[in-house]
Amino acid sequence: MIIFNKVSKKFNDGTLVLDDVSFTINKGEFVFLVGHCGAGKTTVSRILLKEILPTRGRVFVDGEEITKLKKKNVPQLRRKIGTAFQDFKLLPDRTVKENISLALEIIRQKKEDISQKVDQLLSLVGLQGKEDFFPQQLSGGEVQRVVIARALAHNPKILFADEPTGNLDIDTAWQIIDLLKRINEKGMTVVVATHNVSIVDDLGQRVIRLEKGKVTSDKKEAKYQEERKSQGQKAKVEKKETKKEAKNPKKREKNE
Amino acid sequence: MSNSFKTSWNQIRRTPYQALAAVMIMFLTFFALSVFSLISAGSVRVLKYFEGAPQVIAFFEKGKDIPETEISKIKNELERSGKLADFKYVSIHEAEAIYREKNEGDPLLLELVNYKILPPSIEISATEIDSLILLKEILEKQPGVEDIAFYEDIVKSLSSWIKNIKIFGLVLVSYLLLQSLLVIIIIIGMKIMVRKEEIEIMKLIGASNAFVRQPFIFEGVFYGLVGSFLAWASCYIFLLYSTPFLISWLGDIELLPVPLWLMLFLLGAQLILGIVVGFFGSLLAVHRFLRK
Repeated sequence: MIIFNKVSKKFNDGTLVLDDVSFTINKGEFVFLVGHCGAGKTTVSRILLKEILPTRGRVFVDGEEITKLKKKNVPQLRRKIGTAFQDFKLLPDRTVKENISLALEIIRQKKEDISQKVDQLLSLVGLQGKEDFFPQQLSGGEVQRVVIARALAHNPKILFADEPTGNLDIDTAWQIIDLLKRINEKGMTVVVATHNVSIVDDLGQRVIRLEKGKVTSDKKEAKYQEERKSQGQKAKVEKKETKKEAKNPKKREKNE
Repeated sequence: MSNSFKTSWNQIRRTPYQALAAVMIMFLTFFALSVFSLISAGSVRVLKYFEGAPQVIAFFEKGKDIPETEISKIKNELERSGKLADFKYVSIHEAEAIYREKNEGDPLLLELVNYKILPPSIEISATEIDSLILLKEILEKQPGVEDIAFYEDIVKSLSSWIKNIKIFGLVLVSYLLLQSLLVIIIIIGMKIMVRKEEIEIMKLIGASNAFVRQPFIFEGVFYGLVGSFLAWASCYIFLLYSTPFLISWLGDIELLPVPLWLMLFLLGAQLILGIVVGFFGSLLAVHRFLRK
């Protein structure tokens, strides 16, 4: 569904944000893109939306090479990827319903269909009764739900959530993650960019780790944890043995 | 489509003073256009009136009618030039009748003049103003011609005036149209800047350029339509109000009242032009933004 093939991105000021990044995300996967602030997670989403172009490498979305995509076809690409932006990008002067409707108006849905679809989405994200609220009247978690509802409005193939748990308390963050899991269970590919390691550690999903623009690991988190544990144990054993050898040099000589 | 109309209407309502400025500038442009169009149409009629009136009058000996054979001979000679549009012989009795009709309010003048002191005349007009000299020369050679009245200069200067009015009108209206176009570009550009963030969000969630463009185009067209209609209506009301005065001022020239079909034609043309100016103004403004 998403292929990043040796992608690098260097900005005009010389900052290298992505350095030879490669990964493949299959259809229906739930993937965490983890890294500290500035690791390059948002750059990945910006490249996916063709907001910016990579300096090197190739990017494929749903079998199409987006780096070669014509400008007129960019809206079609963006409709394939529902994005929950880090900074929400909600229109402050529009209600929850109007914000979600906008995504449907863009794809020229009929008025009655829009109304029906918005009700469905509000029910999915658990915001029934808040449709006439303005974004500033909502809590952080509710705003995030509106953003997710809008991202899902035009039935995208991929949902990219950029820091959906940022600035949320742990309970609300888990509610959002649960919501994303439910969406993924319906068959949608979900990519969550986050720096919230505690959530990632507990979920046991595939995690792509980015550090200073490079992919440092790409594996199921449970496996990663196991490996980390086993590596840790191995290191402990080695450490113990080294200590013993240091105390008993004759034994070392014998071994040699 | 209906959503775009709604968005356009909201944009207009949210910035009423900008909308008013756009409509006003369109109004001024199209008012000038209405006025110059009517002056232009009127001046063509005035010119036709003067072109149709006798342009050369040859006067013969006073109190003595010209024989029929002589009249036919002169007419044939003029017709042979191929430039004769109209030929009329005015006998001394007809001249007296015309004189009496024109001076019926003055008994003293009526008493002093009768057909015996009035000359018979031949009144002609040419197919083209430039041919008048040729016809005048033919008439001058005819026996018995005592005097010739020649209106070439009047018609020529009138024609030149009308031509200049048309050029001036065209230049002024072109200037005003350009100015309107620029004002629409600026106003729509300002509105785009106000909604910049919103447009960027719309584009990020998959809006096509056409979707972004549509409400602004409708807005520009709205200004064009309202401005041109108001200008036409004001001009028509002003014209209807001043018709009695203008009729007496124009005298014999039958120019007023302006036929309804002409006014409706003018309305149609102005509405189309209003749509074109509004459409291209907003299109250019949005294009500049979307290109970035």
